Amino acid sequence: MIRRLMTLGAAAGFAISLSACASTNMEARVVGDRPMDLSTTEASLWYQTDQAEERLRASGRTVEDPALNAFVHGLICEISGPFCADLRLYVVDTPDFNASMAPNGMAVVNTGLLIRAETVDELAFVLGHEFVHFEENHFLERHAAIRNANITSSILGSALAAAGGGAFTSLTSLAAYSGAANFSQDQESEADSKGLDYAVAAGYSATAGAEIWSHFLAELSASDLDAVRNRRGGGILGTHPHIERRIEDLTAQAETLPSPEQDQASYRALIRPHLHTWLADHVVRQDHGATLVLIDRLSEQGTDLGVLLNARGRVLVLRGDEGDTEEALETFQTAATHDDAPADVWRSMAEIHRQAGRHADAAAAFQSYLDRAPDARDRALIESLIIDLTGTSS
Amino acid sequence: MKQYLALALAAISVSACAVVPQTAPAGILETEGDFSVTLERDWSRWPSQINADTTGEFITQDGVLLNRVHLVSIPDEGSLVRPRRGVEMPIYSEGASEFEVIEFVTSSLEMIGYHDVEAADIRPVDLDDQRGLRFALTGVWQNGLRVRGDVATLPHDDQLDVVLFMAPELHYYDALSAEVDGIIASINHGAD
Amino acid sequence: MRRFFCAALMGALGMGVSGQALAEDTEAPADPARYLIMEPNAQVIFITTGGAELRADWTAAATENLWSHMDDQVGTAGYDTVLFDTEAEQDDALEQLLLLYELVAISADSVMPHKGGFRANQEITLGQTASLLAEAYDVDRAIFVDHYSQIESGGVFLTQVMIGTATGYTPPSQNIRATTGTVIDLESGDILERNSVVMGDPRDLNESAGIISRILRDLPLE
Repeated sequence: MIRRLMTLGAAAGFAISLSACASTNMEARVVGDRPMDLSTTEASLWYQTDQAEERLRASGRTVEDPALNAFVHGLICEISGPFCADLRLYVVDTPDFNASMAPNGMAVVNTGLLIRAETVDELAFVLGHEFVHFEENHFLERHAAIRNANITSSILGSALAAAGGGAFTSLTSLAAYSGAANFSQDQESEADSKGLDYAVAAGYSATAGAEIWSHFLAELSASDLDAVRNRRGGGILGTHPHIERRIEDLTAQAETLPSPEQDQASYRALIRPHLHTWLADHVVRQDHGATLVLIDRLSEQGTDLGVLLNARGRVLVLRGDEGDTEEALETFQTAATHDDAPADVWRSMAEIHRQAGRHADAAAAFQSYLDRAPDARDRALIESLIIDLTGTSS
Repeated sequence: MKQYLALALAAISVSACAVVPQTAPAGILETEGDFSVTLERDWSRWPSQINADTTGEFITQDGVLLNRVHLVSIPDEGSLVRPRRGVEMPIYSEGASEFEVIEFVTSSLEMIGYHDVEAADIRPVDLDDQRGLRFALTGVWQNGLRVRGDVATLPHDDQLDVVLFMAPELHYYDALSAEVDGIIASINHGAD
Repeated sequence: MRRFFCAALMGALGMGVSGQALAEDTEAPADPARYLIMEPNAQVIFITTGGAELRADWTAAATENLWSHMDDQVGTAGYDTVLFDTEAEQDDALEQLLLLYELVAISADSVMPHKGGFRANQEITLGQTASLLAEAYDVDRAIFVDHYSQIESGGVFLTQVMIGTATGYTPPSQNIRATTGTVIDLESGDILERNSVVMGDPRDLNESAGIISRILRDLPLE
């Protein structure tokens, strides 16, 4: 009797749980969309992203540069057309290569994306990609897919275990989650393809999509960290297709689309005020291989070399491999010949001289640093170091 | 064999339970590092074993989010942030310059929930008859609350001794900064 | 979050979480104090076999119910009340104060060995910046309410039955319901009273009223 009741209970649980499976095929959204029925999963996700947006606004992590914000917001509006009024832009200060558009219209663009894009066209492609996720309700569909995978995994796993097939429960989970991952990879491919169409329709180059992915792939490949190198995508449980496949697909798609000439200079002018700070965020991460690839690529334009070479020198100092210190000194010395070299360049040179016992050179470089940065926060320390090095006060 | 395994597991479990926050009474506190400090009054002490984010111990008056003073000696190639798989941690290297030490501290804090951390009022200081470094910190906690802090670092043997105080700018920093100054001034390595 | 688990654990162990006056030497004002009723910080999580979900409708209902009942019951007790204006643009200092409250609320239930046992850390403060709220709303004290619920679906329950049948081990229920009320003196910023109750479903009007009355029963307002 008890066994029969348990079987009935199990069958009921199975039926109830599977009935909770959600559709993964949502309709594209319409302008001004907002779920009115608060009991739905969609409403709950909106509620959570509303809260996340509130926290982001309070966090102080957003970049308050009116010109930059206006430009990126304008670009989003070019791409999204009538949906522009539904989207609110936040430029977030983090070196990760990413952007996102949440179901509630919170559009996030990381500084790690802005520094890696070399033209407005590349940025337009990424924003087009994110807009497709937003327009097609991919976030909600993906949530439903993961939810269904959880249900399938737990229900079938429990049923298998009850039937004495406990050894196969991990296979059930693998099948369920790889299905969700495949679904996610399909969404990414769709977002790449349609996103490129949107960017091209707005007048941007079709080659920009493959270009920004190629740049990022080079960076990942040069990373010092296995975990970063493995972020190239693909795999049975990967949520994103392999980057090389994305590049191939985008390159093929671009062959039939217009590719007007791209303007690197105007885009660089837009991010120039932040270049020094954003590079510093990368340098301190100490992924030297990836950061050097990024810096060297940004240097190919031949502008901002004071700032870029300063960052390069700092990477070399931190890496500290054989010959790095000498190369760093040369790099700082070259940086110092450029008008945009930050005062830090002279402090870094001074430090290398000091470590090498070249006291007079160190003191002179420290003094040059103070001359260029009279309000430096480390002025007291530097003055003390100059006294130590020369025996006289500056 | 199974009994020994069970005993070993029980011993491990008990030892895990045994590490709890403790009272650090007023007076001399021998830190887990290679130095001691003098406390004006009682504090609560979180030993290193139960700190999820950082290496070494810290003491607090009102809770880790409201005030914390880390007291730690960081070895050569060691970190202030507890290592995580696949994440590159800021590392201290013996012989690091003052500027590298500052960057080590600020970038470590950026990995445990603070952001926009900046050093100010950077100055040399004599601590326990040795040349050390002091600087102030400003930053933002992950919920957006502005925080302030004070740091003293002192290279000693092949280690870096660090006293790091962080607290919300509102009320909590001012309430303790003078007392933390006293703690920093009391750093003592005993008879080396 | 931790405090809710602590409260839930104590509830499960049959230990009442009763309130007490935390600042007994605080002098009551000559006139009845005016209270600012902050918008409750409520979260109602629905746990299904598909995962955990912060339910918008349940959270909204819990927030609204707890807020209106706190306002009603404090008013009925003879005090003037003002509702915090969630729509108003907060200035930076006030915003920082509310962010500090988040950390103070988390810390208040932490165990600080040097202060004593459970609840010993509740004598902490928002500092004198709390007076900004007093000035903005012409009040003496503020009441904050925090609520956290986890509610399991029938599917989760039956899945646990299935697991129990198959393995002999039934996972414990994840149902949690805990509410905390905190009274802050807006002149000093100190926590005057803080009381937690477990059980009660704030989505339901009657149960929400019951939660608030149990919080206020052991939370003397003056």
